[in-house]
Amino acid sequence: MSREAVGAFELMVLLAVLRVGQDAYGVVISREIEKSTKRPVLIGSVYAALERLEAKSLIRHRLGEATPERGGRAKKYFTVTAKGVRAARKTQRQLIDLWTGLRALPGDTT
Amino acid sequence: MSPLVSLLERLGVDPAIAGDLIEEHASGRSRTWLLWQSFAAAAQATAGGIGQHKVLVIRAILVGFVALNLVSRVLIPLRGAIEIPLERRGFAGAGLWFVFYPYGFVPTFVMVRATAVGWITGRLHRPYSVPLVAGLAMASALTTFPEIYRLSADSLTNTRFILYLCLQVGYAALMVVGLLVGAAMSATPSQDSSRS
Repeated sequence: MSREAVGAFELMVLLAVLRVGQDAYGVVISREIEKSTKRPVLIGSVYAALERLEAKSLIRHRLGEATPERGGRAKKYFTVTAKGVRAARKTQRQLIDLWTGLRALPGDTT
Repeated sequence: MSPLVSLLERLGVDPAIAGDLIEEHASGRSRTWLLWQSFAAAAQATAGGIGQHKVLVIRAILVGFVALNLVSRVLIPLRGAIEIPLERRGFAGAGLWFVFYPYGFVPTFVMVRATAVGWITGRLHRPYSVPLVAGLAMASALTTFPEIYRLSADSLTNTRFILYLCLQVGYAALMVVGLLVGAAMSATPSQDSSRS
């Protein structure tokens, strides 16, 4: 896999950032992923994926205000870059291509 | 919760993650959730640090073993200077050292030595103290594996080796814990602009 390729969890995080919009920070991104996967998510894993996506210039972050409710720690707000949107679309097309024409999977009962 | 978050930042966790954990805990997440998330975040920060600084990890391992040798040279005569006169005066087993002397003395000695080595190595490898000393702790644990393997095999045929196996595993665990405690003591909290 090339350095620019987006992994499965990275894609989920990227899509969650896109879904949330301007207010995307760790907690809401995690909740968005938990809502769709119905499984608990490690906030540390979400940040690790965000870091990797930022290293690939697919997202960028800005710092919010430090608030007392967060023990004086500022929020990191993430937004998807134009390159990130292109990467998401490209991955979507690749997945659609792979699914197209696949009528049944081995062992599929539904 | 504050000491836990401070510890997380000393372990190199991004302050934004610490802030998210505080916020989620305040909004009703359980203490178990907080502890699990904190443990995972610390483990990921440590593993990430080791992955990013492979050459520094090798240097930290070398520095750590030199520091272990030097600290042992200071502490072993000190241990003898304390222990031998006490035994001559018949204090052995009298409960002078941490109540359960002589058995408490050796773990205390191992812990103090490991903490000192962790602290020295951490101080020399700031700001990546904890990940690099974690690499040293792994190397230290690996050096005990041949003995643990031998004692495990012996324990299968002769139960009297189980005690020695437990002592060896305990020694390895104390070394790892001591090194990490020393590293955390030497580390500065994560410096990130997301903290005010």
